[in-house]
Amino acid sequence: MPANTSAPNIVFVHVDQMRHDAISAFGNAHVETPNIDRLIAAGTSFSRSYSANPVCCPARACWYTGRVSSEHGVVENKFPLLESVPDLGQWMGARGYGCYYTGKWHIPNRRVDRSFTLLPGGSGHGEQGDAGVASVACGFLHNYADERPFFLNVGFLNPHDCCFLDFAPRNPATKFGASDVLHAELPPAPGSFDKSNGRGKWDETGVRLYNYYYYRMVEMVDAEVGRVFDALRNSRHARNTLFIFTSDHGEMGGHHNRFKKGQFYDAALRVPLVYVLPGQIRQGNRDEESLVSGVDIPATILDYAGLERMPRMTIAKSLRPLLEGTPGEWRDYVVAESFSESDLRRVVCMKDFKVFFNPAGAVQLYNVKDDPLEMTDLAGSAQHAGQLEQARAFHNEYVDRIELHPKYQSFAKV
Amino acid sequence: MNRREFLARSIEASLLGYVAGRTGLAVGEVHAAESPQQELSALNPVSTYVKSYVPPKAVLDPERRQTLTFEVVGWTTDKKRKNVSTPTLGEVSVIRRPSPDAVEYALSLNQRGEAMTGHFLCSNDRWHPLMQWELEYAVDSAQKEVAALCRTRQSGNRKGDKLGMHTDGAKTVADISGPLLCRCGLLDSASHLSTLCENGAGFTMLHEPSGLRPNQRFRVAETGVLPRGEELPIRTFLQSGPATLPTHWIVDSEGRPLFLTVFLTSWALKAIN
Repeated sequence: MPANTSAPNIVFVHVDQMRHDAISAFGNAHVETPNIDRLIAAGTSFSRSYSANPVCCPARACWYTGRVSSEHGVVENKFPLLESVPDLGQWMGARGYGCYYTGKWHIPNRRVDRSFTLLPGGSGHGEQGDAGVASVACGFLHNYADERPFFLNVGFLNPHDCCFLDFAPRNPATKFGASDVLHAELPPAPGSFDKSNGRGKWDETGVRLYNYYYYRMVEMVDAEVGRVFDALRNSRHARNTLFIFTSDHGEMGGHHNRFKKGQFYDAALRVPLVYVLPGQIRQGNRDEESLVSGVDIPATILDYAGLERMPRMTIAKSLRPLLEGTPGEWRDYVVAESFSESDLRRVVCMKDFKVFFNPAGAVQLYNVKDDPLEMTDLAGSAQHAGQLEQARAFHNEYVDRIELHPKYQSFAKV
Repeated sequence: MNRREFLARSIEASLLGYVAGRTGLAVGEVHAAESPQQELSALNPVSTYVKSYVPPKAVLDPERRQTLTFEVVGWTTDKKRKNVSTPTLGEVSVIRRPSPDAVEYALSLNQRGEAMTGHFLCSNDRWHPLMQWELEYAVDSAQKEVAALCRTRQSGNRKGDKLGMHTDGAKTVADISGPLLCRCGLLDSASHLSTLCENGAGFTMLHEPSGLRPNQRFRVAETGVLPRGEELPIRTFLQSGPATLPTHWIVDSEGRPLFLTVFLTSWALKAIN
């Protein structure tokens, strides 16, 4: 089923480590994201969008294969992708799309230049490379004149630079002295941060400075996202291009006294997700109910491209009915995975509850509707035994549907 | 300004900074105590680089054509995240061409295969507000067709409260109020940064090639000396605002912008010709 020349172009823009709530359009007064706000106004956004695995490599492998970590093998950074699993670049390139990539890729055991035409750009740091990645993407959108539809991937680094705030504690790049001058402008520490239990320099003031830096990094990448969106809108491709914006995972930023990623708490697990396609996707629509996953992105891309799905995309669903307002039933849960302390773990996200499972049998249960900070573990509460049982059933249904990688057979049903 | 005058002004500036920040200096003292090698956290992003840094001998002369050359300095660690290095990533040159009514700056930035050139026309006022500019961004690539595919151009001009911009042929017009400044003009007017702090007013910054950063402001920040054998007094001015990581403009007693430190990428003044 090759793409025809009227098939829509796809621009898939992803950032790295952006928390779902680091957006001014969603009411965060500590950050200004005028460009992502414009995307939200121009398209459909999802509040309950979950990373398929809240770590860089696994999340990206899920985006590009449409399969989950315990299928393709990238459960943690550096774990290799199964060679037999195709990716979107290979799949769409073989079916008539011109597939291009600039910026961060980060999928082990899969060379980006074997799947895409690799454009320059990217340096490993957002501050050093994101402006170049945006410039390359803008140039591409202005200059591309091939008859084939294109699939342009733009991988920004920021706000991932926040990881460096915590590097080299004895000789940091972080300007701790600035917290004196900027004190009145520092955002508050997260509600789940325990002030009595700060970690070294990450006491309350340190956490506030961390988040000040983090929000500025979000604003920096927001500007670059805006440049790419404007370049598309001002190009000849404006009316026939699906624009997608998301992040691989979020950032703990002191929530629960933790930093970075890999956690099942919403700060790390939930990510922004916006789709824009003039004339087809609803404008200004904020979907706050539907549970969606990173593996749904390739399914949606292939649906709009008019191409068949890649093999065994067992969990992934096209979001097209949600984007275009077509009535129908949606799923009751999504599952995300993560690898921590030598174990694969899973979380089942349901309408009002989240349940964390690990292979040893330990569970945590949170009511995310009444307890959005995820402070009270209800797993031991007899009153919530029903929710726990429901989550177990969903988890086991999920395991029945996927095709487990040989290495991860041990964590099957709970 | 001699050293005594400089230090006297530095103490005054520190007190102003303290009052403006309304915060306990004790926090800063704790952090300073934790990192004895580093007196000024403004220098943290260039902590290794600064140990062998030699400032240029020449002085700034705003009446003459001069070229300011900066090294682009990165910050990174080894895999164990213990040892820091500050590699040179590229070079920036800024050529100043003054005329009776304006100053023109030609910018050339080369960093790891990326090249940006620009021309900025600024008025001759103290902070050199930007009137019009042109930018071109290009990348090195072994594949010429790929390099051609990625070339992008931008230009803009300010007329009163209107800002017109052309990006790859597409035109936009936006409203703007307050000063519009650029890095080239500010580097050249570094000796006046303290007056921008006193002024306290916000300004818009053209941060090329990313675009305009509104609601920026300067504040007097830390003062001290460069950590070298030969003490060199410096003042630091903190730029903050949306999309701007705490950015220090570090100026010596001659008014020369020795460093522009950000986080993972900074500029260091290497030569004035």
